[in-house]
Amino acid sequence: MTSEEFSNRRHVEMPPNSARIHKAIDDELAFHIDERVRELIASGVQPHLARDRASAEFGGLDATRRDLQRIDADASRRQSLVDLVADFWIDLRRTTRVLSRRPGYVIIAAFTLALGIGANATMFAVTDRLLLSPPPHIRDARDVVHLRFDEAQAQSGRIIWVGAPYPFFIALRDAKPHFDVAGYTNQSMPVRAGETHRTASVTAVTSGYFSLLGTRPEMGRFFDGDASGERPVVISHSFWTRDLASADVVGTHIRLNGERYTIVGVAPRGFTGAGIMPVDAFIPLGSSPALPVGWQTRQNLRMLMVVARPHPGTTPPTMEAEATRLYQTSRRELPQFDSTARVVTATLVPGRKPEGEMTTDARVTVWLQGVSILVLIIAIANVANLMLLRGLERRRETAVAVALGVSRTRLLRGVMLESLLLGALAALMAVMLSRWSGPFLWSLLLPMGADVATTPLRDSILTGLIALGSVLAMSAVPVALQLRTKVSDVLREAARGSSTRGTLAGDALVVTQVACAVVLLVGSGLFVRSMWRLDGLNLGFEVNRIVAVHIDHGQVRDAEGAARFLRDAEARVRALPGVDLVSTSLTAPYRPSYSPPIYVAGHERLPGVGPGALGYPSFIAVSPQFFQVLGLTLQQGRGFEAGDGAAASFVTIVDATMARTFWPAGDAIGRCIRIGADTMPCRTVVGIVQDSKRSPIETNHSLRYYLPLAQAPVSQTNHYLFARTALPTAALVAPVRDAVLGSESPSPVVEVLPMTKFLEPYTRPWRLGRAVFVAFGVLATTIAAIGLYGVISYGIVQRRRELGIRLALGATRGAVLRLVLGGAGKRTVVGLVAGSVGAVLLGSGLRDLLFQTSPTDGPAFVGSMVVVLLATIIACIVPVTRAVRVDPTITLKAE
Amino acid sequence: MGDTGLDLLRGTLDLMLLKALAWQPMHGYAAAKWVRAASRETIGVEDRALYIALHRLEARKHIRGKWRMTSTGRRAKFYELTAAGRARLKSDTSQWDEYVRAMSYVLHAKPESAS
Repeated sequence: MTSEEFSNRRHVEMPPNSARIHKAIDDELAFHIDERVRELIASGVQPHLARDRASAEFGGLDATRRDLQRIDADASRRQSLVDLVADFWIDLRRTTRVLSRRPGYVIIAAFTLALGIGANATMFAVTDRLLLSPPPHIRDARDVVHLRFDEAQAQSGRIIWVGAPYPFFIALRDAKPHFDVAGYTNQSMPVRAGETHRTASVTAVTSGYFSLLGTRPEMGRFFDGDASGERPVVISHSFWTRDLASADVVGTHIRLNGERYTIVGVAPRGFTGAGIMPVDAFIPLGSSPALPVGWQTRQNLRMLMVVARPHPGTTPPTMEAEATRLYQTSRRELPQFDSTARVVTATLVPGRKPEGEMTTDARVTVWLQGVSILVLIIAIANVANLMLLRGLERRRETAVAVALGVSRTRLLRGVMLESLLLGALAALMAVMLSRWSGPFLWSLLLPMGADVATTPLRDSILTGLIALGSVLAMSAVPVALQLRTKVSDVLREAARGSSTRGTLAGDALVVTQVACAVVLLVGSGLFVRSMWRLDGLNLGFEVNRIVAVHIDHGQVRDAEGAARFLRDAEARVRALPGVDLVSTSLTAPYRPSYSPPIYVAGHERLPGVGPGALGYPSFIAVSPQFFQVLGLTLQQGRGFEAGDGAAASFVTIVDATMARTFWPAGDAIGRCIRIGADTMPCRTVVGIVQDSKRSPIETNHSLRYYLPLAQAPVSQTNHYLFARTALPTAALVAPVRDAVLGSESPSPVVEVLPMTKFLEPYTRPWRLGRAVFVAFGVLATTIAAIGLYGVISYGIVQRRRELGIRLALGATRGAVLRLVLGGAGKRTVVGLVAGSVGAVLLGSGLRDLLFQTSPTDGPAFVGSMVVVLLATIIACIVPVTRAVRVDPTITLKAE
Repeated sequence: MGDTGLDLLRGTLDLMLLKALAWQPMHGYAAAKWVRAASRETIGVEDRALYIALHRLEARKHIRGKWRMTSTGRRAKFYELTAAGRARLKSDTSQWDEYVRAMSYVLHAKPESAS
């Protein structure tokens, strides 16, 4: 600000107010009367009559006064508005000019802020979708609920079933309760459509499903009722755009599980039904080619998810009571009837499991939201710090301006305007950033990936609001400083060349930044450590040497044909050069597995099974080489052998945790497991194998046992095949696919992946956590280092005179170095301590997301501190070298 | 200029005041005196109308008021023409001249020149 700009009278004069206007009018009219009185007296009128006569001549003095007051008040109001706009433009031009002279400052400040704002806007959109909003395209979606079934279980306490048996659904619907109901079940089956030949996820729905949800099709129509005769299918928007070449698909055909379906409509973009997982197609339940035998009558086959929409005036408790009554009635005749069973409602909001607890993706999202808020805080602290330093630089100027009569509001407007400009620039950059990073983050975080209708307007408004909040927050400190600047202090101080008050606030900001950086780095350290452990052998498998294959016949072959195909395919793969070992299995680690009820002699209730645990142990039916291929070590007993066939005596192998849980005495071998009912044949435990995790996110290890493939209690037409190789797995993908497919026709759907890819969806939360925490941690450290650099440089410039005197008086450069570094060191140490405390506090919340890593992991903490310390040292190098090069004669002369 | 007598009068007063202030800045009392003198004592400006006109002109930024000392050492509000006021004086004067000329044609027209 130059004093020439302040010399404009308008800014120095007090703004006119009504009192001033009134006084001016009174004075003006009084003057008029006085002049007239003088003239009258001069013309010979008696002085005591002159005044009355003058007033009488004037006529309506009071009325005139009121008129004038009105005219002047109007004019003044108009004028102050004009002035405000004019002042704003002057301030805006000046601020733009000042900022354009400091491109480095502007870029650093705006970019830091943009990262913080962009991260928050994007994360908030994700959080909203994952935690707060029900699935899209559902009318009044907050009214719609899933019905869940809370029931006591033999041996395992209470369980909440998510599915209902079909007969109950029919009974419920026919009872015409005070709510509409519809059912659906998710299935996966091979799909053929043009060039596409893959496993599709299909939702089979009962009549009334679409009308209950209140969704409108994007194209064509929805079907209603279990349409017999024709087989209608509604495809999802993403299936249409990704898998079908044609724009006009209604009326064309696709094959699901070998059956011909006619496309009658396309669902709107992003529609996933009542669930959140992506769906390729919707078909009528009755037409589904993948339903188990007896699905319409079996009372223990809980395959149907039930959604309900209350009639107007019906509350969830009423619904629960009504549904519970019907549920009990429908099950009264069953042997396993439980009189305490009740039906509960669960919202469609996807971040919550039916039991009300958060899903893992949701938890990761909440954490990332927290992380992005931390980054924003750092960015705000940093920009506030930069602004503060600039404010300190201009203290003297400001004091002069105040002394000249420039109003403080005007000065504050300057500060606010500067942060507003930076904020606007940052918001603009943030919008561009989230354009670029948004879809990427979405695809990482949301199971439906990028196939989500975005709301650009709402996102932009959100970005704007976050930017505005940031602007207010970051201008708070400089504004406070301005308000407290005393003219006399500053002018006196300027002569001495030192100031402490401003730097105190700066110190606090630096400490905040360092602390936040430590928190983020510790977070990233914990995730990095989790990934290390995960990438190592701790997963239970040798991930890097395995190729995984999923073979899905659908209904092209029956179970027997599928088993024969599998044996042939196994032989063909084994013959491939580079393949050392091959195993086959029914289901696979990290894939949905069977957990039928089991019965173990000596246990009234199974330990570790029930509420809070994960239900019954799951089994994988495997060929003898399975453990070798996956690198699981047998700890006791024997593995499976070729002789463990369908006709041989039934055997099983349990994992270490299951052995420990059920037979703590260590005598698992030779014990007996019965599957399904306690009258089923005994499966003798012949071996104990090392643990493998069913899902990386498990908070407690779930129990698992293995069965020989030939002795599996279920038969399926889809299998897994694992090949172990010494070659790079990627090179083996194509040969393995060819070998599996062979020449037999019709060919099944075959998916071949290196094991690392196979596991990817399950390791995603950690990879994501690592990527985001590391990125944000590095960012935070850099920003904090820049802030520190600024504060130290400023301090040295301010103390140049003092340092000059010290050097002149014979202080060594080493002593000066210690002096300067000491200040920076103190701030850093305080920041480190504060950050560590914060990290310990926040870390406990991360516990569930970490893999075999303590939230207070030593290396993560020490590593983070070292990184922050190094960054501090780097930030100090330039200003400190400048400090020790201070030439006493030059600095002292400069004063 | 409008076509009612009131507008005519107000416009006239505005024009007279602008003319008065064109000579030099003066306060309201002096402006009224000047008008009276310039009109050879034929036009006396009503005080109330005078001040309302002055303040209206000021609000429209044709004149600008400033407090100054008079020659007798009293504080008075002096009005001076702004650039906008000077421009208005010029255009209104020529309009007024035209009007007067036209009126005089009408009032002094000979009967036979009408058709």
